[in-house]
Amino acid sequence: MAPASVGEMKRPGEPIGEGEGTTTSAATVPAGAAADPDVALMLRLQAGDQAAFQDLFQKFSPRVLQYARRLVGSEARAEEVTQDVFVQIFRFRNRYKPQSRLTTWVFTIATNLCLNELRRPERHLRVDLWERRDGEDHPEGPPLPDPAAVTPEEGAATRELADQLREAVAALPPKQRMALLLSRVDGLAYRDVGEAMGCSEGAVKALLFRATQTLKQSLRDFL
Amino acid sequence: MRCGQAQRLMTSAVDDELGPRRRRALDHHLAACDACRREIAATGTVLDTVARLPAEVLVSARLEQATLRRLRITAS
Repeated sequence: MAPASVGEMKRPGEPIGEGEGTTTSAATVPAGAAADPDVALMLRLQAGDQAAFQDLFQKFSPRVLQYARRLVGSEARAEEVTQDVFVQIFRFRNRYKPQSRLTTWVFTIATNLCLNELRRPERHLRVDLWERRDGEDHPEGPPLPDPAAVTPEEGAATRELADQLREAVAALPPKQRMALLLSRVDGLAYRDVGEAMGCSEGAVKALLFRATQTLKQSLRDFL
Repeated sequence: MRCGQAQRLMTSAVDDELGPRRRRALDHHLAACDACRREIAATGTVLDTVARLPAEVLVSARLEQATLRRLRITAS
């Protein structure tokens, strides 16, 4: 089967569909946002540029898939959620406003879909949140390097800390886990974490405080 | 400021998300409290370790193609 591409949906040069919502015209883009390559990417998608979706998928899907894996538990479910995220990005591309960071908008969609997935009644079984991928020795990638570790014993301690941390993060309640991953792993400011999760900055701080307290308890032996 | 209040501000302080007034109050408390200095150091270690978790994972060509197939259906 030939690789599917957005370009196959319409003839070259033809718009790729209207999408839902109101298109942002170049005239409505704030001055600062105009120089942002992410905004430019979305404007290309809104204007019907067929290659823009693939560029967007390649840029954001590795982060979205990793985020979904850590939230919904299994590789298959995370892949389903990732597909849903990008289908929604495409469907609602005209609702994106350049006033928001594209990363925040993408993670807002991802967060909502992960929460929906976790709410599905048949999904309440306990799952291995760090399920290994086929042929993968380390579900989270290679052990975290510790530039300060100078002996094998120190390296082993670092790996042990990393393993313990993964288990502790996986055991956090979903909203605490989301706030922690969005702020510390994906680098969103608290304001953007609140936007992605649909809650206030104060609520984000409370979630992160509880998450950090739990992690400190779990990792007490290493601290 | 009491230790309990200080501890509630530590995560935001490590993330540099604390307003200047609270930051000053926390710093004032830390200057006088060994236990809270140890606690904020532990908070920093935990959050730094979380930040070193990989943010990305390899996406298979199979997933990209499946997504693009769904997109074609959505667009048609």
